[in-house]
Amino acid sequence: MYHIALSMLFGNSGRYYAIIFGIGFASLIMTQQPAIFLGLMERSYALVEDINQPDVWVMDKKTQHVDDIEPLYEMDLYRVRGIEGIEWAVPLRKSDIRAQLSDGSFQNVTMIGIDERSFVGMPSHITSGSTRELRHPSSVLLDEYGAKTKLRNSKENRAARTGDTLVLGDLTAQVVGTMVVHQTFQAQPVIYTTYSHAAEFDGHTQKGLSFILVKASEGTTAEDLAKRINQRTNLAAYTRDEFKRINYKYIIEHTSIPLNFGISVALGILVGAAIAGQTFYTFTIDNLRYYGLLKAIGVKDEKILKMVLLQGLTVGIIGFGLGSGVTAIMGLLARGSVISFKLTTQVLFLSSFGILTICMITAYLSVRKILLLDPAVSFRN
Amino acid sequence: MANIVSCRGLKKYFGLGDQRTPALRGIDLDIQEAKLTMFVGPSGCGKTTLISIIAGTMTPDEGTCKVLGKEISQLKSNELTEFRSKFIGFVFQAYNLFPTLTAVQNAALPLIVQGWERNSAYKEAAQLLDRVGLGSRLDHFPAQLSGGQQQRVAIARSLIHNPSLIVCDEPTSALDHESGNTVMTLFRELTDELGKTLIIVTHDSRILHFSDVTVSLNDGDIESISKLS
Repeated sequence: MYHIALSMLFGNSGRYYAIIFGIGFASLIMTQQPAIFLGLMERSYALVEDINQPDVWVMDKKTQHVDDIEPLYEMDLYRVRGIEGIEWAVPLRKSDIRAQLSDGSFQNVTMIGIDERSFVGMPSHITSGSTRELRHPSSVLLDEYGAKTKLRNSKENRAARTGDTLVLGDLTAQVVGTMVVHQTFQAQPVIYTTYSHAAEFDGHTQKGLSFILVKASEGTTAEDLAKRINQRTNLAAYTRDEFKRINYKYIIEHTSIPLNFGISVALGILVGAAIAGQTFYTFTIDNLRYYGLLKAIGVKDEKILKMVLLQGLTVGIIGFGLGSGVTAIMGLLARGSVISFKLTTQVLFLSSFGILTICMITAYLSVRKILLLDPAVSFRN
Repeated sequence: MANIVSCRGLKKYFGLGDQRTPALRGIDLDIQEAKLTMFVGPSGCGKTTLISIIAGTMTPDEGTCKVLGKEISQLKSNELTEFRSKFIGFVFQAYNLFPTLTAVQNAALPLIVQGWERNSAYKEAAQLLDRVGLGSRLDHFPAQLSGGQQQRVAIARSLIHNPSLIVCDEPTSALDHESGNTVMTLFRELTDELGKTLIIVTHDSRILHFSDVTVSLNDGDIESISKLS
């Protein structure tokens, strides 16, 4: 009997495509919006993602987020280095600075100053030039996407590149290469330089140490080391994953982004469910005479219930495949652009669960009409 | 010859309260086995209600109706469904063929409902369609068949599970005279050669001469019963 249920579904192509479109639309909203949300959230810890060498991040207790920093004293670096279980501890400076471009325009950039001896803190994907070049006076590396967009050389209509200059503070900086970094939450270009160059560009503000990056020695776990640093120095110390979570949580708790995305997803569910529900219900009503016939010739209610649930499940799976497929294509197109996007298996699992639930509820509501149907309906035209 | 249907004091109402209207006002009727019986009468006289009760797709409000020795008003919903699937064949005015199934798939439907394996059911349906003259149309969809051909598919569907009683609702009203005659000749053969009992509801006076018994209904009651020798 199930092949009859499927032939009824696929045979009515107009209704079938309308149902698939409705469910596909709901699936698109239910996967694409959370994927953009997660992508945006991922940006909240872009710096932590880029700098993958340290096990522990140390910072002032008042630092709440990677963009909301209370600087440390230089002395704190030596206090941390004195704790057992540490293989190395290096400084990291992070600040926002205004850059003047070759055409005279200004652009705010995020400046990261890394330890010039070890170069710990440098992202791993250098696309041109090399990290060693940073030892030259006033040298910087640009993030490749920023070089192509906001730091673009508008006079020559090309991306910024090695050999270009830009003014940071009162000093002229020389571009010595480019690298790939994760897009930041503020979506401004990122430049990397050495710790001492960064201090020069910043004008030697007294407290410039933002973070201390720490590697645990062999036999010491990151969790134990973070706890130990916290106890001995009274500074905040987090493992990499903990620090990511703290950044993530900060955005969740201090911005309206989750609420806004939640509203979008809820609206998507409502609109998609309404379209899918209405068309599926109409499809069932259109086929009442055939269900009446099936009842008249002896098909039991349980079997009809299963047939309609199968139809609901089928359109649910196909519609979800369509919607999530479009989402995946959008994700591929968003790669390397300013659009944030992160499609995880959890998003796919939860949205598929949501879609199939909508379909099952819709099918159940439709089937009630059939179960109440008098088989004598077949005698009426 | 034994009675295959026996109704006593059969009453049926539609609507509630002040709107309650009697559709059957106490029908007493016996229908003999292996006969072709026709129910005739004006619209709203209760023909379709009566055939629905006899076919077990509707329950009476009062009275009894024994079909093949079973008091069908006493059967539970699932028992009634099973009873219909085994003993009753249906032919409808609008054919009620599934538009997305071929002739052979439509005709095989009652066997599929009874749990037959699909290929065996199709083989059986193909033989039956051949007998009703549609051997060359097995894989045609209803939209590719004429009205008369569609009705013959519906007849094949009503016969395939070898039911004792076949109920037909206005089987010729959507057909031209020639197709109607072809279908009625087929019904006549079912009665004469296979011993099937047929009950036909009709408005079509052109086909009355095919019947063994004609039951005239009016305003929910039997007006007359005429038997042709």
